[in-house]
Amino acid sequence: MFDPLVSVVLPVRNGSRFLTDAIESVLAQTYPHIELIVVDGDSSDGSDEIAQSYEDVIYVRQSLPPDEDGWRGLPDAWNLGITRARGPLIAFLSADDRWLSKKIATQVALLDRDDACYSTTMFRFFLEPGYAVPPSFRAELFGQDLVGRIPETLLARRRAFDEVGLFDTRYSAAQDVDWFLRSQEMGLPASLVSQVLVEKRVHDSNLASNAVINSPALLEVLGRSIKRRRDVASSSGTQSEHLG
Amino acid sequence: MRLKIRTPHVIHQTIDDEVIIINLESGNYYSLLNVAADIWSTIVAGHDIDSISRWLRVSYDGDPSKIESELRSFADALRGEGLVVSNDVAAPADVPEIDGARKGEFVPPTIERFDDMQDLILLDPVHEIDEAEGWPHQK
Repeated sequence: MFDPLVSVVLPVRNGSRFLTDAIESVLAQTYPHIELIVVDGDSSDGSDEIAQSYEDVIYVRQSLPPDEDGWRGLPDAWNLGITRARGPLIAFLSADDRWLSKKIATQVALLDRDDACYSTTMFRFFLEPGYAVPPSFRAELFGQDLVGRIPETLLARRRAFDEVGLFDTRYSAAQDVDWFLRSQEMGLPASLVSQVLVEKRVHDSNLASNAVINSPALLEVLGRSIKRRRDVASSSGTQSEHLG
Repeated sequence: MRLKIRTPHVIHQTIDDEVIIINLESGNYYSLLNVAADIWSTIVAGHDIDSISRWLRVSYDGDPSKIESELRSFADALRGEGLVVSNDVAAPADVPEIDGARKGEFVPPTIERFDDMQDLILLDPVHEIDEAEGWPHQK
């Protein structure tokens, strides 16, 4: 059976604490044909040494300093990884999350079966031992199998990025929400794997301030999506419901 | 009667005369345009329903009783969507004057609702970006 190369993009910026766990979860995949690209956003905490200690890791360092005007580190890192990827299939992992070992194999098989352009999977949150649940985190989410249109669950054909484009670095946050919205607007065929294949680590209290910081970007991302859909609504019908 | 935005469960922003609202509890998001956006901004400013109604009847051309009833149903719809709640606190003294400019024909306000991103909005999956601290955040 032909196994196409899957390029895994793993951005890290001073994420040494859980990076080993993330890398090991990629290397432990049952799928045989994977390249792992760690995109380092100028780390100063030893993340670079950890990444480079693995023979099989392709280490890429971002060249732009984080304070450069308009530079958006994380989506830039995703995009840099995509441009460096050699495989026809591309996946993403965060430096503090981890995959279950059948993640890529399961998705590759279903992507072909469903003839989809990209696939996402279910995921679970888990609390890092020794940490309290952050006050803003919805504790009821622990233990639930969650639908995850997030980069960590995404496996996309390269042509998905050719058609939808890369992650939009104009936004200060929510660039992944924007990408999924654009792919949805374009009607890209997607499939959802109904198994939990990703574990997202909850480990500090930054979710609270983060939600506030991200709100303006999320509102802007959604607003622009509504406008784009409105522009084409006359021919294809809207996805919204009018009330009142 | 006055209404208030249901913060912190509801966040909103006006972009190019369009009000975008997210209900972080339901994962639904909304667009308000024209009269609906005008009414929303007067609610945000702290005006009560009676003064909003007076302003609509003065500013817009249309049957006053229809304007009044459309406003009431719009307010009920906002409440039903969990976007606003009754505000029993007395109006602040510094409520800004409502712009008295003529607005033309009254078109009943509507709420455009989207529920296609509930999974993303409910999980707050937006990436934590803090260049100073790194990805992911560390204490």
